[in-house]
Amino acid sequence: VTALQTAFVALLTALLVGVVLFGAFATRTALAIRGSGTGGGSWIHRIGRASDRDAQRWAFVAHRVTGVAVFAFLLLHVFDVSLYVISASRFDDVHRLYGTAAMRVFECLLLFAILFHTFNGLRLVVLDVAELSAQTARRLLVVAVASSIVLGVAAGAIILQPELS
Amino acid sequence: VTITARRPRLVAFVVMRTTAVLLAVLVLGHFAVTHLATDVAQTGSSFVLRRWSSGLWLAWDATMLAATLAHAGCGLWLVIDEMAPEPSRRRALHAALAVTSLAVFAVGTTAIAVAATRAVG
Repeated sequence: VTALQTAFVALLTALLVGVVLFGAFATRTALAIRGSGTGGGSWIHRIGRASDRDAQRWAFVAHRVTGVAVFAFLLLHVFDVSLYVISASRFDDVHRLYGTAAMRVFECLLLFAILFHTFNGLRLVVLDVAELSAQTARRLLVVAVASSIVLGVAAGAIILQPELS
Repeated sequence: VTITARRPRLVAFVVMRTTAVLLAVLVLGHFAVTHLATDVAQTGSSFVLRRWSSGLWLAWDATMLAATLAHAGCGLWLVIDEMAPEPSRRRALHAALAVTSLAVFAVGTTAIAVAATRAVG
């Protein structure tokens, strides 16, 4: 293990911890804003009773958290790719990590975040342009989530293929 | 959490939407071509050498970097506005965001420019 590889793993871990903390903070804030009137019970019961507005709110939180997560990775990715112009062998040194099982799993998670952020983001652009009902907006959200899962699982199978076979 | 009302920020709004549509194409295209069509273990320096000898990919990566930083910069600026209402903390976070984004832009565009110069020379 080289010093550069250690630095990469340390930075990636720090960014992941930061994203998880941000996610927890954003979720807590959303729950606080949500307030009373939605009744008690476990989170699964509350999701079952979720109104159109609740669905929008959770989409809002997920959009924000996935946005921060993808940006955090971008910071690291720009630096590791830029190593290439300094030294091809140093770039390869760090790049070798991307082929490991752990990084392939990470890549799948990153892809899910990118897919959800993209499809939900396009839904938000559509909602800005067209005047649609809350019900249609929620249906579009279902389409965005379903597309993310289907494409994410299909692409994930390709990414994890060397580990699975 | 206090959410203070603010004037609509038209520029940020338009930049967010324009870059959003652009990035949907550029980022998903980048991911599909770079990380699905090619296994990640095969995208070492020889792959980057081939990739960055193409003007199309140099332009693609430069545009993607600029659009992403504009999109994330505007987005996070508004996130900070909402989540850090205290002025001193908000100013510090805005400054950190600006410095980080500019640093990443500088590093990324320098790398692409150096690769482009080598490809030509």
